Amino acid sequence: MNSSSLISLARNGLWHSNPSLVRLLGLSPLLAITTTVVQALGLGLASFAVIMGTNISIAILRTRLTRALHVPALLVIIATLVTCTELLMQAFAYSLYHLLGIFIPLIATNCIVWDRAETFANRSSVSLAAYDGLVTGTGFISLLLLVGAVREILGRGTLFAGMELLFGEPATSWLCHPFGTSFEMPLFALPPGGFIVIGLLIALKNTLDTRTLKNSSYNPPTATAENNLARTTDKID
Amino acid sequence: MSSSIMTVLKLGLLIFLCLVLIATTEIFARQFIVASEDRANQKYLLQVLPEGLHGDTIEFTPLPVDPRYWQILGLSDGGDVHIAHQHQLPIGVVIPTVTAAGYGGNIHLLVGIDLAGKITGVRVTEHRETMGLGDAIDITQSLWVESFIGRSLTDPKPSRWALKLDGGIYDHFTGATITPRAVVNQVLVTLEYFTEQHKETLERSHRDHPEGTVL
Repeated sequence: MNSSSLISLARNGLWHSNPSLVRLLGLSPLLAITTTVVQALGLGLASFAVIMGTNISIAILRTRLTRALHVPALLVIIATLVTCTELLMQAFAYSLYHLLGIFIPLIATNCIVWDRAETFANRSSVSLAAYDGLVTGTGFISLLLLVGAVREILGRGTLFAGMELLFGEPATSWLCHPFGTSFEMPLFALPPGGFIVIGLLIALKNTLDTRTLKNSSYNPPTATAENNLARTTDKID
Repeated sequence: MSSSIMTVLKLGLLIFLCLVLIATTEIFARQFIVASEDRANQKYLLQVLPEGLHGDTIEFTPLPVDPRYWQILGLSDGGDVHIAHQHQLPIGVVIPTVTAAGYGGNIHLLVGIDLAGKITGVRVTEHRETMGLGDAIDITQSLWVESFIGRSLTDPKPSRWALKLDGGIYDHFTGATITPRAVVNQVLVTLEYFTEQHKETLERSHRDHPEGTVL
């Protein structure tokens, strides 16, 4: 694959087809877990590992999987990777593991993982599938972090609270209060606040797109009956 | 026919490989998980003792809870009270307790109490309360549990051992009253248990053997 298609793959994964912003996949963790940056990062990294692992495994096995084997094999592989991730988090990030609770096993049901395995990894080389996992995973983590940061600042008035759960004691000093210690708007710590923040981010992305695409030669993929590309938040031709 | 047998065999092989992977990870991670659990428990035990005592000078002696008290402490399978000793002298106890009155099921607590019956610390070790609302009982989310420090059965008097909106002295959270109410009530129950079961024994052992004793 040449470098321009690699770049367009990255553009799509990170921006034009961002799994969370455009296709609205994996909304449940996005809304439930992103009340602080540390939770967003913890779940993001775990999901990232599962997306990468699934993409690579499926790409390795793709020639050996018959049609009938496809879904059961995917089930077994994803469940295995999630179980291993869970065990490793319990071993090396014990407090964070308890903080994230049920949302770690629920990564197994994250549509992003399934989507990448089903639509990309099963017809790509191992390295390309790994690259796609990297890009998609990064797109997901970035959005988790962004929403986590906005909701933590607005909802609790802090930023980087509890980072020591992931980075050890020195990270305790990363905690800051951007608007003073008494500022908080609890709405943003609640699920409705999550919807509001994500909605505003989607609006912002669409505004930026309208502005930049006018003067650009790049044509982002759009949904048509043929390519069957689910796009939820932008224009459908 | 032969192709469907192949399919079954392939799937069987894949499942076997996955099981091997999980088992390897489990064997590798087990020691770290056990170490993390021990560290977390030890950390909580130290955290509910008075500030300044922390360190290697404290030893904990487990003491099984009398089955008569399992029910009021919410311990369906029993549990251990940990007596904290410093230089062989008892300085306090750490009592495990569980309340089922939370919003999201059981809330597991550790309550540290000194010989005078004053609370030296409370920690929530396990809970399923709503994120962003009830989870303020967790020390990683807010300092609310610190408001128990120094409290006892006489300060405030039992009728004031409640949330402010129930006529007591403790704050509730915006949008969550069930969770903090459950915790306040359970801490009170734990104090009563301590007074009934441990206070006298501990005071006696401290008084009778000032040069050092093991309870």
